[in-house]
Amino acid sequence: MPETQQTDLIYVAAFALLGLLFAIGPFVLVYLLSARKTRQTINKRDQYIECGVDPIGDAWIRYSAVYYLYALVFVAFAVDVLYLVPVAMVYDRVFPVRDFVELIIFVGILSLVIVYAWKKGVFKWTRRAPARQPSRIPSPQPNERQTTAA
Amino acid sequence: MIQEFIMAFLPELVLLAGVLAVFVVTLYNDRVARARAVSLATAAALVVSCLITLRSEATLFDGAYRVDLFSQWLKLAFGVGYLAVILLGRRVDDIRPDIRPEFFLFLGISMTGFVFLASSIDAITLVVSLELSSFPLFLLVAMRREREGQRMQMESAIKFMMFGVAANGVMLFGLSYLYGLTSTTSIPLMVQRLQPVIDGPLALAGLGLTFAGLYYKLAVFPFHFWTPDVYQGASNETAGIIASMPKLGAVVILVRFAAAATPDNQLITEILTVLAVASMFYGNLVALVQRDLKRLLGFSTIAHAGYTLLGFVALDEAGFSASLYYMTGYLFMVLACFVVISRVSRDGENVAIEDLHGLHRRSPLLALTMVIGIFALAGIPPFVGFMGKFALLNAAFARGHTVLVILAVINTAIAAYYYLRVVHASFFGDRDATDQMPIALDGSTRALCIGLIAIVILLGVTPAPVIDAITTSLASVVAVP
Repeated sequence: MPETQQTDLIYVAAFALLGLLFAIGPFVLVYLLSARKTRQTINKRDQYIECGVDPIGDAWIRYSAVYYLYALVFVAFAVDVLYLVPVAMVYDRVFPVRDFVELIIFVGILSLVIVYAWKKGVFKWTRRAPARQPSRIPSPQPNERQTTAA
Repeated sequence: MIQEFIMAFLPELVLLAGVLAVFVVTLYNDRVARARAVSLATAAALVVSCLITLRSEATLFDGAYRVDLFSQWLKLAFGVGYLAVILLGRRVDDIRPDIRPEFFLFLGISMTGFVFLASSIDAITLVVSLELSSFPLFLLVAMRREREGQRMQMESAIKFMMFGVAANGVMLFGLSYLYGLTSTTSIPLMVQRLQPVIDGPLALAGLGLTFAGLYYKLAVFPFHFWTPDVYQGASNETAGIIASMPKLGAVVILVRFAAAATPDNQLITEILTVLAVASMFYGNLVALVQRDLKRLLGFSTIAHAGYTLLGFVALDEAGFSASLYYMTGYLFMVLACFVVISRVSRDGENVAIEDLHGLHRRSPLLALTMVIGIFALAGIPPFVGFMGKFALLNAAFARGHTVLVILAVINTAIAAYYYLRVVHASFFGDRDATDQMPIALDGSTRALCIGLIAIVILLGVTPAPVIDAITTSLASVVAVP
């Protein structure tokens, strides 16, 4: 085996070892540092998450979907702005006019998202569903979001 | 200069303008009829512009986009398919009422992806157009309306999307290997530079992973899992789209990459043989016991993907052109079947084989379309399915894959059983018919049925000019520069 391959193998082994340590280390640390003797666990073993405060009510409640549509529109832009970076890298190198026009086309098509969402009333912050009894199984509401479905 | 550009790029420009117009229509509520009319005009204009630019040749966008005979006839096939799909979705009843115009918008966007796919010769352009063509299809599945006893569309859509995204990821990973080996994203250059290292493990891994992503679109055996479920959960029109367009698109890219392995490559041939045999047997055997017509077609798709791979096993020009010819024919055969399914279905529900009972009395034209579509799928002359299978078997046989050819013929015989069950249901079994009402067809459906029948027969009785044209146009794709 040539020497370069040996060094490569040593590198791989070292990285694998470090990765393993990174995964196992926290368990060991927690085991060493946690207050196992003094902790109160009575009536707390069936909580899903432990944060020092007792949870209030059930996690399976219905809440408004308004925010989620906003978030989706935002994500559409946040992701697409990434594609402006490569354009910025080569902007004005060879064909300034062409770069500008292409940028306008790209951002123009992108902004159609806003036009669509606006027209369909996504930006109206209204609570459509009245508060209901929290239920585990969401019942289907086919007509509930007719005006805003995107 | 600008005039040449427009002449070469006309179909794409027409399609983009049409899709933008459909977008404007979708901004308003209840404009289904208008969205359909605009889409129909766009599709017709696309077909016409493809015919006009059939002979143009150009390399656009710094070598990322090649317009030649190969790409133009593919665009023509996609355009005719688009037209057929719009006629097929007459009222799109089974789409949620508030988003029906968007059905046509997403269909148009997906078509844009396919049309760009035909011309992409750069890996990045290719990936972008592949995503553009597949993402709207995920949405179309989820757009089926919810009602009592019909809740599985979300499951189907999620399956379709998860598998699709995973397959895209695998394909990108493979492409990254190929890029690493050849340090270019231009596919012809990549293929050329792969020649010396094609037997190395890295090239094989790269090509294999890239193919895996395409096999998913084609529904080849280990990547078939989504097909029947998605067909069943999607509305009838959507299933028709998913069954037809992406298959041809996948074959096009497969041809572009398979050209890298053109010399006798033992390993790639063996892998392809195993995949072809597995998907033929799996698809045909499972299809035997299906009762839902769309599920049956789903499994038959898997079998047809296996047949198509026969052309790639041959790994020469005859094989590639046979595969392309077969898939072009398949596009129209399967659309003919889905026209019947959409029209027979009561209120957009799924159609079981028993629902076809007495079809020849309820609507002779639909029964005829069904029979011709099914006979073509089964590979009975003189339809395109027979000539396609013949060309594929011929290509594989010429390269000495005798066992594979025999297995494929056995599979054709197995498939005949379940195809003939469908024919039997539509022409006999009147006594069991639950519904005797005649099915009223409007003019556009009649035109669509007759048009599809004509294409399936014409492609079948005149295979020589078509295959010759495909082989000629392939020369620029397969030949290593």
